[in-house]
Amino acid sequence: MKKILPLLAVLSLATACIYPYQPDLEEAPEGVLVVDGNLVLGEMSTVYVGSMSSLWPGPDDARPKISVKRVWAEDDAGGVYEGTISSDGQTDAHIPMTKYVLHTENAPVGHNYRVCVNTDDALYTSDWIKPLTPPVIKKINFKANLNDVMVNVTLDGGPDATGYLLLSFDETWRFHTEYYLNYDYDSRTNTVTEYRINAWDRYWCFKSLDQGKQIPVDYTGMSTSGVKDFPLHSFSRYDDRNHRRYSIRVKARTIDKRTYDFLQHLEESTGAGDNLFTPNPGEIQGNLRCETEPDRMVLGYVTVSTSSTLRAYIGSQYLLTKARDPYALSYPLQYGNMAGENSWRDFYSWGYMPLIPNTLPNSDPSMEGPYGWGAARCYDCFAAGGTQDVPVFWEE
Amino acid sequence: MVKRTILLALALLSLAGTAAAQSEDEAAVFSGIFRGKLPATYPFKYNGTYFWSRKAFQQGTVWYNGKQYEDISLNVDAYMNELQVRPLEGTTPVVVYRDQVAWFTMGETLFVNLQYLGWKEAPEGFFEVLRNGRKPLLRQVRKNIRFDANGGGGWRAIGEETDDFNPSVPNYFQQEENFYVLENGAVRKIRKRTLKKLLKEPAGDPLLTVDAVRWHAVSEAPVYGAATPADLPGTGIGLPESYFSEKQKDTTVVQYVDAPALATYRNKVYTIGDAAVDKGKAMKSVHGTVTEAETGEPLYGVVVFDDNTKSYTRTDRRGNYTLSLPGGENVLNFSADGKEDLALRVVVRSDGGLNVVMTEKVTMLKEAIVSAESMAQHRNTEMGVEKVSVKTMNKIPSAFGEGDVIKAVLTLPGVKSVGEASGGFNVRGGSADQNLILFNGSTIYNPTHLFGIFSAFNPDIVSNVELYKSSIPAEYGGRVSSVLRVDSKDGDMQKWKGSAGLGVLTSRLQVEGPIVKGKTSVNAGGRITYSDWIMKRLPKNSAYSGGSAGFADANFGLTHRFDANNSLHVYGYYANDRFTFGGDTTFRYNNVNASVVWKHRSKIGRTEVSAGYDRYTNRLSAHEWESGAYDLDTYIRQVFLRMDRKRQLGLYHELAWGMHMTHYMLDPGILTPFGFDSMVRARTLKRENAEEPAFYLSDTWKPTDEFSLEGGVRISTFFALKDETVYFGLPDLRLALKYSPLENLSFKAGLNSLTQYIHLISNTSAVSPMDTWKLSDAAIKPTWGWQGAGGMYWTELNTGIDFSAELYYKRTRFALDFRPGAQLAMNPDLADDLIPVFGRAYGVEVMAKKTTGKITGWLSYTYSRAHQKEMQDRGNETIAGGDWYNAPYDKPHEFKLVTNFALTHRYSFSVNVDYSTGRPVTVPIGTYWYGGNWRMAYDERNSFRIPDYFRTDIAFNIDPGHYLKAAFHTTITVGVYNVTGRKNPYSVFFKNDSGVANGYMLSVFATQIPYVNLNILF
Repeated sequence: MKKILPLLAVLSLATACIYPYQPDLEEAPEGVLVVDGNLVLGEMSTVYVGSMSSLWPGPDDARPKISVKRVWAEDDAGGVYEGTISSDGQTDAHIPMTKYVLHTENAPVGHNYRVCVNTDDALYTSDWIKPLTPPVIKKINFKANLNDVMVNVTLDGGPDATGYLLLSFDETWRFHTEYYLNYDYDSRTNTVTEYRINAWDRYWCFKSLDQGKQIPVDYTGMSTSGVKDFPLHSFSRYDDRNHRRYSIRVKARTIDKRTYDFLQHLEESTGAGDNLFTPNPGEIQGNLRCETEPDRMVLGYVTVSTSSTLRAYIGSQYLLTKARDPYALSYPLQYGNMAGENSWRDFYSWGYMPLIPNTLPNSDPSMEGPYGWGAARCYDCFAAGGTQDVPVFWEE
Repeated sequence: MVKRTILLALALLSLAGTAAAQSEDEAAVFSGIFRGKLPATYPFKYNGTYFWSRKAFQQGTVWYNGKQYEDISLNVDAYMNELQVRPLEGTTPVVVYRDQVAWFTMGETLFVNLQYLGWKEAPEGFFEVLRNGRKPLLRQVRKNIRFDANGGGGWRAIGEETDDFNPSVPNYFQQEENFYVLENGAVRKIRKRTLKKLLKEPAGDPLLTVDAVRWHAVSEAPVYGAATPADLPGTGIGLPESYFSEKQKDTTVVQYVDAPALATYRNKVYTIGDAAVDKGKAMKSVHGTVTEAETGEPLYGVVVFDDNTKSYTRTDRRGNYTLSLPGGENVLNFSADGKEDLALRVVVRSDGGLNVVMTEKVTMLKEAIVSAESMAQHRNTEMGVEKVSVKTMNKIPSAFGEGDVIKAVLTLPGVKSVGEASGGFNVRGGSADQNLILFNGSTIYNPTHLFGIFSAFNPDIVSNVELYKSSIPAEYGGRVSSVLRVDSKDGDMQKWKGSAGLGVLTSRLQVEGPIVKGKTSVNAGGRITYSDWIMKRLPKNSAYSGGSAGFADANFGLTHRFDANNSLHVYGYYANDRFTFGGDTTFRYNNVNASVVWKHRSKIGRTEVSAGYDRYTNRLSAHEWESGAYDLDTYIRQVFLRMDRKRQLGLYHELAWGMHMTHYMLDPGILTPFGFDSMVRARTLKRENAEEPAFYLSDTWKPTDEFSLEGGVRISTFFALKDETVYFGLPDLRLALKYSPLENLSFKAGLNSLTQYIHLISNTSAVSPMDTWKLSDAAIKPTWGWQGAGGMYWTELNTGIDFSAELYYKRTRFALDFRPGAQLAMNPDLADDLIPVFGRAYGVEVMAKKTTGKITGWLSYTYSRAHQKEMQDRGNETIAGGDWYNAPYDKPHEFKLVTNFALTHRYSFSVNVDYSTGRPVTVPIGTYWYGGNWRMAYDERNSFRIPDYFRTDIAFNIDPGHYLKAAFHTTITVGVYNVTGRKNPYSVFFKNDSGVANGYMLSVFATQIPYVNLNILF
C-alpha cells in the first residue's frame, strides 16, 4: 500500500499532456498582404513585404504571393523614400517575404512618416507615425553561471520617454570548429597521413547573426525612467559563442503604447494555449489599412523611430565553453573501414575527413577503424557558417 | 412505585375482560391494530431470524392503545424491538406502535412493555415474563446483524436448523438475551446465575398477578410459557371503577394548547391548537420543526404528508414545515431518507404547532414512502432548482476520489465548464462570475483549489447543496445566472464524533460535538494536500512538471441554542492556495469568511439576522529578474448585514421579505517591488468602495393544491463611491406559477430578472489564479439579465422515476468580453480593454431521475446555445463584425449519466458518463512572418470547436457496516476516473515550425486515473 499510493498520485498528476493535433481548418484567404516595416531615421531602413500563408502549405510551396509593384515611405513634408529590393533578395527560401531597403539615412526628424505599398490591385498605407527620440543605452553587462551566459541591458528612457521600448540586437562572435584538421587523406592510395596540413587555416572564423527579434519592454512600472539590467538575451555554455570572443550590438527605440500592445499581444498569441492560463488568442489590429478596399485584411505593423545602439564584447576570460559529450553530438564521428562498405573513400566523397585516431581518450574503442571521420562542419568553419572576413567594427 | 403497580394492575385487569374491549369487531382486518406501518425489510441475504424465537407467527392477545385484541397472529421482531401483527395469513405484517402496547401474549408466553407500564428507566422493548412474584423475573431477547466473512452463517452456524440456511451467506442474526428483575420499584439487570439463584427463592405474592410461570434456559430443559390470560386473577387492589372511563382514557393523550408540542413518541395522539377556538373541519395551519433525535440538528428535506388530504410539504433548511390540514383527526407522516418513519395521530383544533424528533434508521426505506419526496416537488413552484445530497455527492466518482461539491454540481443538467479542472462553472449560458456562490451565507469568490481539481468545500462539513438555475428566490441577488448555496452542518448536540479521510492527494479531518450538551456545539474540519513532493517527481513532458502546489483549508462552526426558538450560529472559513509553474513565479490566493447568524422562530414565522466579513486575495510573485522583481496583490473584501423574515399569512400566503446591505472594498492592484535590487516602482490602483443596499418582498400564494403563484421583487441600488456613480437597479422581478392537474404531474413557468454589480476580469478560458474582480462604476455598467423558463414534471408512480423537461431563454446586457491583447493587470484604464456585450442563451433540459431502489441516479440531455454580441460598433475591430458569436462555454449537446447501483446495503457501484460537444475556440487561419518569428493570423472569435468531450468514471463504494455500537466505521472507495482513457482536449494551440503550423492539443487528464479513498467515521 505504501508504494501504491505515491505511484497512483504520480500517475494521476502526470496525466496532463500535449499531443499532436491537426484539425480540419478552412483554407486561408488568398491575397492577404503582410508588412513588417521598420523605418529607422538616420540609417537604412527595411520593409519586409509578403503574404499570409496557409497553415499547412503544399509540397510545391504553392503559397499565394502578392504581386507588389511599389514600396515606399513618405513624410508629411512631401519627402518620398523609394524602396528597392535588397540585394539579399528574399531572406530565406521558406520565408515568403521580400526585403526592401529604403534610404532613410538623411530622413529628417520632426516629420511624420508612413509606409505605402502598391500591389496589382490595391494600395496599402500605414498610419502617420511620429518618430520619437530613442532611449539611451547606458550599459550592457553580462552574467554567467555554469550553464548559461545572460546579457542584460540598462537604458534610460530619454526625453521622449513613453514607458515603452523596443529592443533588438545582432551578434557577432569568433568561433572555431569542433576539430582541428590534423590529418589528410590521399584517395589515390587510400591512406591517411598525419600532420600533413601543418596549419589548418579554417579552424577559426567569424559568425554573425541577426534573428530579427524585436523585444517590447514596458517600464511604466519602474521607479526610474528606464530599465536596469533587463535580461535581453542568453545563450548556453555549449554554444560556440563561448569559444573566444563575443559581441552584441543592441538597438533601442522608443515606441508608443499602441505599438507596445500590438507587439506584446503578438508575442503572447504565438503558441498561446499551451497551458491552462494563457489568454485566449485573437487578432489584434495593426496600423495598416487597405485604402482601396477598407474591409480587406492586412497584417503586420509599421514602426517609425530613431534608434540608439551600443555594442559590447565579452572576452574569453568570461567565456567558459562546456565541451559536449562526444557521444551526444549532433553529428557524431563515423568510423569506417579501409575498404568495403562505409569505406574511407566513401567518407571522403561525402566531404568527411579523418579527425581523430581511434586511440584517443574520446574515441570509441568499440568501433572498428583507426580513425574517426567527421563532416565538413566539424573541421571547416566555412562549412559551419562562418567567414574569415573581419567585421569592420571588430575589436580584439 | 405505587403508581406503576397500579398501572400494571390496571393493564392486567383488562386481561380479565373488564377493559372496554371490542375484541370481536376489532379483530377484523380493518381494525385499529392493523393501522401501523410496514415493517423493515433486509435487502441482503442472511441466516437466522430477527424474530424473537422463530419465524412462524403465533396467535395471541394484544393490549393496544386502550383496547384488547384477541386471536391476533403476531410475532416479535427482536432486532427492531417491534411487535408485528398480521391481519390474515399470507398478508404483509404490520408493525404495531410499541409505545401503545402494554402487553401481549404469543402462544403461551406473556410479554410486557415495561416503559409503558411505568418503569421509565427500563430498556425499550418487550420483556418475556419468566416468573411472576414479589420480584418478577424477566427476559429480553435482542437480535443483532453480524457478518462472518467465512460464511456459514456465523458462530455455531446460526440458522442452521432452518430450511433456508445458506452456508455461503456471511450475514446472520445473532441473538443476545438479558435477564432482569423488578424489585424495589426499579428494573435491575441480572446475570443468568443470579436468575437461577432467584428462581430457587420463593416467589412471593405476584407483582404482576401471575401465579405460574416456567422459564426457558439454553442449558436447561425447554418448555416454558406463561399462564394464559384466563389464569390471571384479578388485581385485588381495589381500583376505582372510573379508571376505565373516557376521562381516564384521555390521560394517555398529551394535550398542547397554543405552544408547539414536542412529539418524542411515535403515534401518541396529539392535539394541535386550542380546543376553545376549534372551528370544526375548516382548514388549519400546522407548523413545526423536525430535528434529529441524536444531534438535535434540524432536518432538511423531510417529507411531511397527510394521509387524509394527501397534502405534502417538505421541511426547509432550518427543519421547518407548514401544512394546511382539516380540523379533526389526521395522521401526519414524516419520512426522510435514513430516518425512522413517523406516523403521528393528531387532532387539529386550530392553528398550531408540532415539533418532531426523528431517529436514525439502519435499513432502507420502502419505496412507497421515499417516492413521496418526488411528489412533494409537484407541490411547490420551484423550477430549475437542483439539490445534491451529500450521500450522492460522495458516491459520484471524481478525479482523486474525494467527494466534491463543484464536480457534483457539474453533473447536473444545464451546468457546464470550459474544461477539466477549470475553476469556474457556467449555468445556462452564463459566465463563471455570474454565479453567486454562498457558503453559510458568505460569498466565495474562488470556489476551487489546486488549479480547479478540488472544490473549496470540505465534503465532511457540507450538509446541503442547492443550485438555483432559475426561480432564484428574491432573497438572493447580485448575480445574473445562478445561486449555489452550500451549508455546513451544525455540530452534534449530544456526543462527540468525527471523520478522517485519506486520499491520493489530500487528507482531511472533521470533529464535532457538544460543548454544553443540548445547548452548544461545535463543528470543525480541515484539509491539507501533499501534492508538492509528488509534483517534483513528475515527468518532464507533464504540463505540471517543474512546479509545486499545495492548499489547505479549515472550517469552523459554533451553534448555541438559547431555547427552542432562538439559536446563534458562528461560522468561519479559511483557505489558502499556492502554486508555482517552474521558474520563480508563484501564485497564491486565499478565501477568508466569518459570519454570525441569529435565527428566531415564532408562532407566525421565522427571522434571520446575519452579519459577516468575506475576503478574497490573490498574489502573483515574480522574482526571476532581480531588477524587475515584484509582488502583485489584489483584494476584495465585503462586509454584509442581512435581515430576512418569513411569515405564513393565513392559509394560502407565505410572505418573505428582508433587507440586505453590502459594503465592498476592492483593491484591484497593489504592485510592490521585491528585493533590494528591484527597480519596480511601487504602485497602487485606486481602491474601489461601493455600497449595495437591497430590499426584497415576495409572496407565495397557494389557494389550492393544484395551483400556486409566487411573485417577488428585489430592489437594489449600487453606490460606487470611487467616482460617486449611483446605479438605481431596475427592480428585479420574480414570477413563478405552477399548475398540477394531477398529483404526479405539474407544469411550471417563471420569469426572473437580475442585476449584477461586480465582475470577474478574466481573458482566459478557465478562471486563472490571477483573475481579479471589478466593481461597476461610471465606465463599467452593471450587467442586467432576464430569464424565462417553463417546464413539465411527471413522476411515474410505479417506478418512482421523475421525468422533467425544462425550456429556458435568457438575455443579458452589459456583460463583459475583452479586446484581443487586453492588459488586465495594473491597468488604470481597464474599461478601455473591456467590451460590453449582449448575451443570449436558450436551451432545453430533459432529465429522468430515480432516487429509490437499488439503482438510483439520473440521466439528462441538454441542448443549449450561448452567444454574445458587441453592444457597440468599433469598426473593423468589432468582434464578428457585430454579429452574434459563440460564447466560450457554448456546448450545444450535453449528455450526463450519474448512477449508483446498490449491490447490498454496504456495497455499491457508481458509474458516471459525461459527454458534451467540444467548446468553441479561436484558431488561426494562416501564418505569416513578422518580427523575426512566424505568427498566426486568427479567425473570428470562437468559430471553431475542439473535439467533443467524453468521459466515463467508475467507482466501487464500501460503506460502513450497520454495527451502530462500533467505535469506528470505515468507508472505502476505489475507482477509476476517465476509465476509457480518452484524451479529452482542454485547448488546442499551434506552433509554427519554418512556416508550417503544428497543431497541438492540451489534455489535462489524458489517461485513466485510479484512486483509493479511505474515510473513517468515529
